[in-house]
Amino acid sequence: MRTLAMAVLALAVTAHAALASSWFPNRATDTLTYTNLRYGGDSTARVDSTSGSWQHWTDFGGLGPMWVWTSSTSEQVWIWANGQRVLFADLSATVGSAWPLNGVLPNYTNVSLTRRAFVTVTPGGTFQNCVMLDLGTNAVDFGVGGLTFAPGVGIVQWFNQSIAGPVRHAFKSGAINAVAWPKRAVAGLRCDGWTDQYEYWVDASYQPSGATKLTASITVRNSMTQSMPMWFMSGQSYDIALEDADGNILNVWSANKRFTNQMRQLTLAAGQSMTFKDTIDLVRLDGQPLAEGTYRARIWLTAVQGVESQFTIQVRQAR
Amino acid sequence: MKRLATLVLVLAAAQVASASSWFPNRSTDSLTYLNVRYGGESTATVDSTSGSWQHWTQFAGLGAMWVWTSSTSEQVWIWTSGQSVLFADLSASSGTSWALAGLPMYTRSRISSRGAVVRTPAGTFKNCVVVDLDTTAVDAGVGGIAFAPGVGVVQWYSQSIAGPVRTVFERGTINGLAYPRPAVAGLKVYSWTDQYTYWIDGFNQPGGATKLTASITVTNSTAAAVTFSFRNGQRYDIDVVNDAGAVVARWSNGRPFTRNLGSVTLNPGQSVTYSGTVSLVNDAGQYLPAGTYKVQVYLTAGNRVGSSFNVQLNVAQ
Repeated sequence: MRTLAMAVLALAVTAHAALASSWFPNRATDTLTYTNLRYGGDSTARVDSTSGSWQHWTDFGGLGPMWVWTSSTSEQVWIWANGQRVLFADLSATVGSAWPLNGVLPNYTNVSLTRRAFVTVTPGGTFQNCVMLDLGTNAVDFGVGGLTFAPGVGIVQWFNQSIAGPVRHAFKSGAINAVAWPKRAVAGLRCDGWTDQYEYWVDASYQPSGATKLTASITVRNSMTQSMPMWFMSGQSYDIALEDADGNILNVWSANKRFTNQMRQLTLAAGQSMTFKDTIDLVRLDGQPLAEGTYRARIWLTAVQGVESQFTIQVRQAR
Repeated sequence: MKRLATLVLVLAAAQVASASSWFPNRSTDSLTYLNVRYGGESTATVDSTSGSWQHWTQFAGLGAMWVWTSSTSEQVWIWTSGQSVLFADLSASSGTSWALAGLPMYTRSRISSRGAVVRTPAGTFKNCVVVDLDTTAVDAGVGGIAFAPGVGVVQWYSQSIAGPVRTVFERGTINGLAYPRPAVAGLKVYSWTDQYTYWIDGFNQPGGATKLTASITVTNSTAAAVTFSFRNGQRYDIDVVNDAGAVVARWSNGRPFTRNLGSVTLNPGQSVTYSGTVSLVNDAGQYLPAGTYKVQVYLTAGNRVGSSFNVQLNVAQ
């Protein structure tokens, strides 16, 4: 451990890239469970010992237990094996960069950065901006490759070469920075809709401007962490339709309205919402009254996201 | 006014115990009526009171009038030609009539219907009692006076040579509440999907299927219970629909449900939430191709309520 302590000093002094790295949360409490997607079976990786910025992982991307050095001010990853340390990779490097392993890892010759900024999907989640490392090996039917690092999480995937072909190991679940994975957060769009009544009373004998109206409202909230551009193909932002129980359209709010032809974009910032509310006469498009019965009302955004609320309503005749 | 005060006492002693909410009896109430045939508005307010007697500036087209009502009775008395007259007992059965001594041009009042629903611009009023008046004139007079519980007079017809003219409660303030009531009083539906952009695992290996979670909450904001009836044990579903309108993945696929008919009743204010997760694979277990899909989440009741969202599927490889 004395040697390790010296290594810590050496690395700390040689000052790494100023860019704060979040590749590894570096918490001793983290655990990552991987699943073998070919044959089944899980394995867990966690830190069981630390020394400065060095952490001893019970498994490091299928390479077995390993001392690994990372820091919050660098994107370099160092490993300690067979009594010596070696720069395993600099995750800020460009695709094609390679690092010799100098015999530190038996059977492996070097590490190269083969992909950047791609998306990896595992049972544990969807990870963007990943970096993939491949390891040069002197065996054809053996070895680890496709080691995939996700920012803020660490290793989310690797492949083991086997005579039957590559075996994929993927991050399945875990606790990272005290956050449980897979995350259960709601991170899409939310939709709140209502109609002003469930039972509408219409009055066939009613005189001028007498049609019963239905008011519907829709609120769309962006629950994501990034903003959402909403594209509309015209000046119209929403519509309301009245349908019979079989889904035949009887009346549409926009039927007697004109809109500009201009395509436009509204941006819904993270956490923001927009509400549209309007009324439609409970009559057919030709002005004929509705018979008593069950109908459907729909209100939706005419944006490409097509968010919609649907309701069954009851129409009754007032006498 | 001294005579009126005496009457109050007499009437108070005699009435039925049933609490009446026919007239809120507040001096701050104001009801504006619309002549539906010719347009034009008139407003009825109480401009003077004496015990349970209230002087309305307008009473059902009969002009300004002293009207007696009480919270423990369903009787309506009017003061006309220097005497009090029972105009109607709104608790009486249909067909019951009263002689209208002293009200010029009118001979009798009669309850012509009970439990009527009257819709006016101010709202839809249920359980109305309609009072008709016998008149000595054929081309004049008021009839079809509709009393709505808790509101008062919401409609009447005036006979004219051109036919009946309908006058309706258009807007107003009653017991401090503005009419028409702006309240949301239907069903509310609240839904979400857990992502907008879903990434499908391009490696297409077993166990790696991307899943979509959707949720629906339905709240009964009406004043009455709403029952959702189901054909089997299933209560909701989540459909993933492709561009061509075909359902390519469905939450209920492969799930067994009991065959029993069932129902869920939501009392006023109650809500119910269902959430489900569907794998983004087709029936053959193949991952769905990249593209835009419509996700529908809904109650499978006959009175269907639901939401839909378009989501993006991208392939990660």
